[in-house]
Amino acid sequence: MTPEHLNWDHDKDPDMIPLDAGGHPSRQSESGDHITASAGHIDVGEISTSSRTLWGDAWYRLRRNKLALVALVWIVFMILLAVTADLWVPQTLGDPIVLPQDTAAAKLLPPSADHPFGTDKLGREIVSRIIYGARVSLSVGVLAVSISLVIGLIFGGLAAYYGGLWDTLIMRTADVFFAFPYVLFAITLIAVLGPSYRNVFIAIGILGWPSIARVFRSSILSVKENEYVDAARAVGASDLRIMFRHILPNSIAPIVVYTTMSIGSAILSEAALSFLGMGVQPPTPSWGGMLSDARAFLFSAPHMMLFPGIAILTTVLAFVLMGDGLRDALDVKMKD
Amino acid sequence: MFKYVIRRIIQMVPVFLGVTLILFILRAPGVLPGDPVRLITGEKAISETLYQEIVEKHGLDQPLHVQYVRYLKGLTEGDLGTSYQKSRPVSDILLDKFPNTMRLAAVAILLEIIIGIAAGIISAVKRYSLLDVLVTLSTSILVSVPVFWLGMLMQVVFGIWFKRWGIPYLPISGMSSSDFPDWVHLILPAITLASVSTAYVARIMRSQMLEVMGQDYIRTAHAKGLSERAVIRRHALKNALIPVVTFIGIDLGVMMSGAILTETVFNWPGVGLEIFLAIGTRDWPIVTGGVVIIVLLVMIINLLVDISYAFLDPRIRYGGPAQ
Amino acid sequence: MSKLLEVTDLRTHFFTRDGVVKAVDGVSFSLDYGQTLAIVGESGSGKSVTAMSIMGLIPDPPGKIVEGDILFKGDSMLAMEPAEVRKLRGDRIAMIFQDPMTSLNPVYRVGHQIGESLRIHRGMTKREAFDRAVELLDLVGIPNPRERAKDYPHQFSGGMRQRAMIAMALSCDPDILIADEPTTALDVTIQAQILELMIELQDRTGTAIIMITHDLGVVADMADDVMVMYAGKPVEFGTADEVFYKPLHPYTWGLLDSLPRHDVSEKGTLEPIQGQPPSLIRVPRGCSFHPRCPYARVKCVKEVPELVPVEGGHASGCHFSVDPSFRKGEAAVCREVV
Repeated sequence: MTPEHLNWDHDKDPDMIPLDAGGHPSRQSESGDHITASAGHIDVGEISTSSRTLWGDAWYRLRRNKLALVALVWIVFMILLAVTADLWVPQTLGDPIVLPQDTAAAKLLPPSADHPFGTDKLGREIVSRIIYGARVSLSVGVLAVSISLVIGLIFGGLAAYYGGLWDTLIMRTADVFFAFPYVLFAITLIAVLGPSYRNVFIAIGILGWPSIARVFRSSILSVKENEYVDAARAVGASDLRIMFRHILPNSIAPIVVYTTMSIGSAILSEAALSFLGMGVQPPTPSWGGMLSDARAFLFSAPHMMLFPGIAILTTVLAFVLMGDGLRDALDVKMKD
Repeated sequence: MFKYVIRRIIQMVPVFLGVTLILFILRAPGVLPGDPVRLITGEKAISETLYQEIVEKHGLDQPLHVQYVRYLKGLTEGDLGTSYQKSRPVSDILLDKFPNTMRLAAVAILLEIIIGIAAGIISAVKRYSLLDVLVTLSTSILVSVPVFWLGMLMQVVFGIWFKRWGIPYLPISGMSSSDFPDWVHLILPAITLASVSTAYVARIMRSQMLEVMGQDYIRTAHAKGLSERAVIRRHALKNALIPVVTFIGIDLGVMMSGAILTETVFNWPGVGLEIFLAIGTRDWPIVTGGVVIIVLLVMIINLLVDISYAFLDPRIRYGGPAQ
Repeated sequence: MSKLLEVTDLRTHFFTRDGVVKAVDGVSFSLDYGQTLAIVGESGSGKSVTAMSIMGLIPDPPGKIVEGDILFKGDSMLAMEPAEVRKLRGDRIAMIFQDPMTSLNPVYRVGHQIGESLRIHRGMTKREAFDRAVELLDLVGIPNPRERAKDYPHQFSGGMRQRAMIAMALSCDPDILIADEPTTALDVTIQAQILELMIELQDRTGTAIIMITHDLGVVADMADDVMVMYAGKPVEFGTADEVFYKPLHPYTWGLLDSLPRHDVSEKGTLEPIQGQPPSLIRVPRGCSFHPRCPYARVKCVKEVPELVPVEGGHASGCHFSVDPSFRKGEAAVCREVV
């Protein structure tokens, strides 16, 4: 913090009137971000706070959001489970795929000390299958959104930066994609490609690009208005350089928010596809697939449907809350 | 107004062509790694001669644009191919199931509109109250919940456990039975299908109300001496509803996707269940045909919603700039 | 007989997460029938909050009138039931706002919106209210009022919308019209027309006007009294002539210098006031204007100046205004640094 920021803080140094080099009273720093006190319709003036970077400021605000922090912890926890599963799950909790020797005796057991989440119709540990299911869900979520992100950023960027025919063509195509019900499109695509792990994230990824393209396009359009982009162009910076040095850093906040939320919905889509039999194929454990198995045992073994559902709900909710938290922290305006 | 409707219909044409083009490309030979013949025959092994027969019969050896025109022509004639398993035209099969899906969807949309909008308004007007926290929290959970799991959860609780405990319980499967009047069968599937959409409508309604309540014309209304109630009812509601109506239109597609899952969970004999069963038997013509029908339906309803929009917003009706 | 409006030591504070915003901190004035008072200041000086306090439209939470009183014809508005205040609002005290583009509801016809006050305060039917709205539109100079009343706001131009706003505010013949920056959002030529219209209507109806503006030029021809506000407090009060020709407070000098003038022959150039308005959460110690004041001395940092009468009713909130040598154009820039 520079001394200028203390201008109005006369409790600390009451009789000092700071002067700048020219002998004039120095102005309050204009680089500090201004937060207008929200008081309904009435502008009650601007309150200057000390200047922080966008991300530092966001982290500060995020830390005050308990819900988002819990969500973050949960996401990290799930990732850790998924990544380390091979090291300890089969050895301690039981193998998620290989059947136990006495299947008949081990199947459909309710939760107990020996079987924390119970066992499934083939006697496998549900807890192990849920941990391995996290691998599928999280990896499909991340891979699918990465695909959407790459396509969306390229198309959104082209549409916004070059405008005109590019813009019309790309945004009309996006409209076409929007006219498609999400899961239906994925089902059609997978009907052609054949159901598999790879095809699931490809299908979900291909479907996600229009939203990202729209978000990126509109944020670029608002950044493009700014003078520093004109300035950069005036000094002869190339298109690519302007894009990477000036536009991308300034439109990254909405993309981060949107990406976080998209991972949640990609996980939901994967679960739905697996539930319908269009996703990851057995015996690979996936949460949606486990729920599909559980349908036949609602009467006799409701625990089979309970835990995979909770796993999906909490993980998706964590991404949604994290997205909400980031949106507030980064002060991104976004329609619901 | 008339000009606006015409413009919307004209704008619809490229979207329609795009959608059908994508649907066509998905089954056109050589574009995607899949084999289009497989989409017609399912995954059963077939002889080389039969394969050739199918290629010729469906014109799969002709240039793509010829095939596309042929495909469009088939669509307008209601030709969606023939089910491999049932040896019946797909359009006949789906037409049988269609009214069941519509009945379920209609009740769900009604629930979505009534509950979603009411919850959103209450939540916004009583901002920061316990009720608001409750609505916000439950909508956050509902948008994260897999529909099919919610359905199963309700089956276990309201169907199986209630019956076990001797409490009046609800049917969890099918569309009719000797134990219940037909409309009771609708309850759980309709709630399930409506759940996510209702949560979204409540969220959007809430945020729209809050945004509208901060607008200058609301301040003007207050300055006229209107009561808080009158300000909300006369000035805020209509403005806040406009984007919600759009959302409900767009959401129809999402709801149709949800219908596949909901109908599967509750064995509701609609288009969605038919698609699910066809996935199981790899009867691809039914799957793609069902998708085509739903997509076209969603597009038509979207158009109707767009038009109804004009009745709400004079800026559109009188060709002004939409803000 | 009691005054039309009397505001005494009004303090409206906003309790925000970042601290207490003292948006209005000790404002007093009175307004007589048919009089025009101008409240002048930069954005964030508390002039709009003063107006909203009088209207009883401070959003609570976070806002609250913590001290002072507002007397309308001798009755305390703060002691009234909300329903009573609502009866005054739009009927006896009306208000027009800065941005006519957004102050009209886009989904209702203009005539309907103008007639709304008449329906709630006068119990008119839709038909009667509409007919009256047409007359009012005619009064504010809208051609073809009967047709235009059926238009929606987006079919009106900015100037016409502000005319419609004025028609709306005047519909119940209010005793007081509060105009919050009514011309700021308009083109310069339209600005003059709207001001002329307001003066003309005031002559006709005898409505008292509180004119809120950041632009001293706007009020020159119109105001009887002028109150200059800074950081929630009045810093100068006087008749329009006094404030224009014999300004006492250095902040007013700054405001006048930043004004393009043709009525006063002065070779001085346009000079904006240095710096930014202060945070209203942590208002500078002593005189809140001292960090921006070129004439600040040690006393200004240490003591809060009072608004005291200097010549007749002409009051100033500057420590040095009582000194006749401390006048605009004469005072030497003198900053004592301790």
